[in-house]
Amino acid sequence: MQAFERLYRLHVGRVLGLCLRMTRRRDIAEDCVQQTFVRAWRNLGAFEGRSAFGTWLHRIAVNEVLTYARNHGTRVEGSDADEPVEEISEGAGELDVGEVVDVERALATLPEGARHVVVLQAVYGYSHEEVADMLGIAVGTCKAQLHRGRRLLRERMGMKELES
Amino acid sequence: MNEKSRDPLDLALDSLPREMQPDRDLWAGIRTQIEVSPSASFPATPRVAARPWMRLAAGFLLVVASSFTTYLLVQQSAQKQVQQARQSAATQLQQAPSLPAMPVSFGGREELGKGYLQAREALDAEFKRQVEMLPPVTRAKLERNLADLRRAASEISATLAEHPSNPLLQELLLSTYQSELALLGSVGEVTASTLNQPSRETRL
Amino acid sequence: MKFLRVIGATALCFAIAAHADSVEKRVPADSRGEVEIVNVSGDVQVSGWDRPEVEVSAELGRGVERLDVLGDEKNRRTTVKVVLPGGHSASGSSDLIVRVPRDSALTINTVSADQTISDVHGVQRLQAVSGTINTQTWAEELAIKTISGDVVVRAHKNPSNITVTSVSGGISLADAVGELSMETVTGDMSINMESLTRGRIRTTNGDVHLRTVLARDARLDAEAINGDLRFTLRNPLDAEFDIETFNGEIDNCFGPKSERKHEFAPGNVLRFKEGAGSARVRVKTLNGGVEICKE
Repeated sequence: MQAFERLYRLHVGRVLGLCLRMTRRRDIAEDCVQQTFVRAWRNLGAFEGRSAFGTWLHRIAVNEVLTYARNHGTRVEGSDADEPVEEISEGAGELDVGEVVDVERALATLPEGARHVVVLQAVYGYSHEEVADMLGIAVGTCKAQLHRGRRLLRERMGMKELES
Repeated sequence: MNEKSRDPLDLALDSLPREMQPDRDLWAGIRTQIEVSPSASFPATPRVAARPWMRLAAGFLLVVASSFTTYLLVQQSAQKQVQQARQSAATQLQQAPSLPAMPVSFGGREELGKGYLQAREALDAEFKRQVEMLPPVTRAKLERNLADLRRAASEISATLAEHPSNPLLQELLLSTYQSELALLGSVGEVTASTLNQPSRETRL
Repeated sequence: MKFLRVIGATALCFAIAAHADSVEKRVPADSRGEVEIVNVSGDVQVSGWDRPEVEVSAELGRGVERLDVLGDEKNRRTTVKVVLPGGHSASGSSDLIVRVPRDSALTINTVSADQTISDVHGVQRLQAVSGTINTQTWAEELAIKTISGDVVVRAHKNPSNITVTSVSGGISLADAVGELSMETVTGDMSINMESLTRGRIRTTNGDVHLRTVLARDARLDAEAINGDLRFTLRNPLDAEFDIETFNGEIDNCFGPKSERKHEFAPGNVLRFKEGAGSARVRVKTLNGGVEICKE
């Protein structure tokens, strides 16, 4: 148990970061973090060391986030609707027309499908194949969502296209 | 990639902290839940009589059943996707039986329509026959890729419906149909030359 | 004489015991002949040598019926085949180590095993269901087809036509010159060419990185649905570029910026010329990003 607590202390920061950016609500994210570690404890026997422990934890965490979303009726992958944001960053909320925001806030305003992909791929560095596998979507859908997410981020942050 | 690393968006995303600290210590709640229900090892051992050989047999059967169920689910899921994608593509073709003649790379012209449908049907039938002979892992990968291809075709078709006069979309849809035919044909070709005897594969 | 001709035309077969067995056989072969190898159940390793002979060393798996090494009457065509009994499955794999005359034309078909070819200078046609294909080429033609195996090719800067088709396997090509046709569904491509005269690249979801010099009057067509396409072009560069994506981003190092094709609809386009524009580069994607830079 002590050893597992050490693992918790080592990994809780990244797991919470991932859950928070995917769910956008701290209370839900903290619940997901707890469920992640409980499930990890219960399935320690299934961890075969093929990936890093942190990666395995992230997979469980993503599963928890998706399960919560399914059970509480928030969205589906690929939904176009922008949802109101709670408290990830100061002043978070719906954007005013033409408002330019920082990246954390812009990320929070992305539609769920694009946001999940951008968080996993662009923030936490997973490959397209890993992200597609974690989210249960096709690689093509994953790439399409990433491009969409990046385009929306640029727009909302008032960025122009990359210049030479 | 030097240019991508100068991209302001990438710099901004890189600047985001990966770790965030909880407002409260979550360990207490985790520990309580863990202590209430002890960890189970995988695969879960069913409740059976105390005799060790029965527990062993039950565990073995559970692993085998679980693996077989997973295999079936992968196959059924892939097959369902292929069927749905094929249905969708066939519907698209029926609604738009031919696209305008489009130039393809290096000259030459292709037209979709009745000829495409016939070729596709014939190749599909041969594909189904040949793919039965493949090792299950390869077969599953192949069917997933074919589903990906057909999903791409459906996505382009749907987008084309919103932008019907977009030549880029027309060209990409044509390409995707051609890629599908090429895939169906090449699987048959590759398997026929090696698996044309009634022998079974010996390893994955 | 007639008796010898009959011997020469007769199949050379070996009855194999029911358990794993080592077999070795050598047959005469034309130094510029054809060699065909079929193995359903094991790796194939081929190397070229300077003898007018085909030599096969095999570790045959359990239940293999026999290893056929057949030469035609004039030794122009040699076939090497692992034969399994109908209705039975071999429980082990049968790996083949084959030596062929260096200038042979080579055809290999395998199912779930690796192919490794070295120092064979003739035309190669390689097909596999899965398993890696690793080869080198000096010839004017190389054709590879695979479903899920990776493909690794090292060319030797001789002008050639290289065709690789893969479903999910990745493709890696180095030191090629000339014509190229690459197609994957999800496999990624890493292509390094000395010079390209004609190129056709098509992928659905794979990512592509092509590094090359574009020869004068070269033609390069590249298409992706969701894959990202990246081009690193070396000097001299004299080409006209026509790049279009529906949802993807276009990044380039040359100066011109991409433009929205329509004010209120998706679509980015970038058209520009470097030098006189003798070569033509066409790139189209649906969602994939495109990057074009100079080395």
